[in-house]
Amino acid sequence: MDATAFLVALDELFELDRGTITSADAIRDIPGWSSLTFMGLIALVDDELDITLTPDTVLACRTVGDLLQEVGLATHPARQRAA
Amino acid sequence: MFATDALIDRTILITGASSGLGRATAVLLSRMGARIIAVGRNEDRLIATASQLSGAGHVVRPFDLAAVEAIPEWLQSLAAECGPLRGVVHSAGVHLARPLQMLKADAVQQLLTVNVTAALMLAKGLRQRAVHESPASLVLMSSVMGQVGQAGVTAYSASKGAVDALCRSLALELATQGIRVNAIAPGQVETEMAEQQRGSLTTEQFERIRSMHPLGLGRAEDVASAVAFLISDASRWMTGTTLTVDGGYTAH
Repeated sequence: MDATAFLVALDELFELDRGTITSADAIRDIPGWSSLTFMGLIALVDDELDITLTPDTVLACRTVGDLLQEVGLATHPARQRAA
Repeated sequence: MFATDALIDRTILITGASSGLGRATAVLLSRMGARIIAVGRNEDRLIATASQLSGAGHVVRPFDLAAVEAIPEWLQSLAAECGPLRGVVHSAGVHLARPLQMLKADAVQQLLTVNVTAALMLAKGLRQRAVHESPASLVLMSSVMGQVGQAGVTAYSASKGAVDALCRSLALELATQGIRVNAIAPGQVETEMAEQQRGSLTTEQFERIRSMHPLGLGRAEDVASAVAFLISDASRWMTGTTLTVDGGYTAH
């Protein structure tokens, strides 16, 4: 899974239109952010990238880009925030 | 706390004996004189459990309970090798924390296979005449999640509710064969599996769960003591019951 596919998976997790979430977005400001989607985010990383993130690691990430860096996807081209 | 001869000369099979509740149960029952058949997937970890057991004659048998069809025949061969069983403790279990949008059908199926179907197949194996010696006791590991809800653990909750329900019907079906069937519903216990569950919670969420246990979080030994009671003759008039051992979690 590359960064683009990961962002699409995030869109699906948060039930947003494809292309809504970008690496510049603040994680906790994503519409639909809750303890359940938070749990889902950790599950997504575990299922798709086989990386076990602690919740506190996720909370230490300010933006989606920080998260991509944390899971080793930052070097791939990520979608930029829509104008 | 328990008499060292309470389970003398009794062979007890324990699934999930390689860690957590299963390991603590194996250690306690061996101190009560039982001969333990320690079952789990990882042989090295089972050997580590065996090294902590009191007494002699314990055996380690790696087995993947996901192979549910094979369980009854496997129990038959174990009984032929080690003698008839006086008890089975099904402590192996799978936990899954997923919001619904992340829940996959195959993961649910895997969870139900180990938590529910394996329990039924263990009962099916145990009831065979050559496999058990009555009075025998089957103890299943349920959870408070079978009684109360928690968002994100729907599949796990469903599996533990199923364990409570099948425990009652099994108790009725196996009573005439001298087999008692009971379950234990622990609250949050500090085990490796709980550590993994904790991995999906923030510190704040975990502290909230801790605060909901008026007696604090449990230790594996707290649950092992309840298993010892249900396996032993001290509970000879109990069957079809789920014994809640939760530090007061469900008293709210």
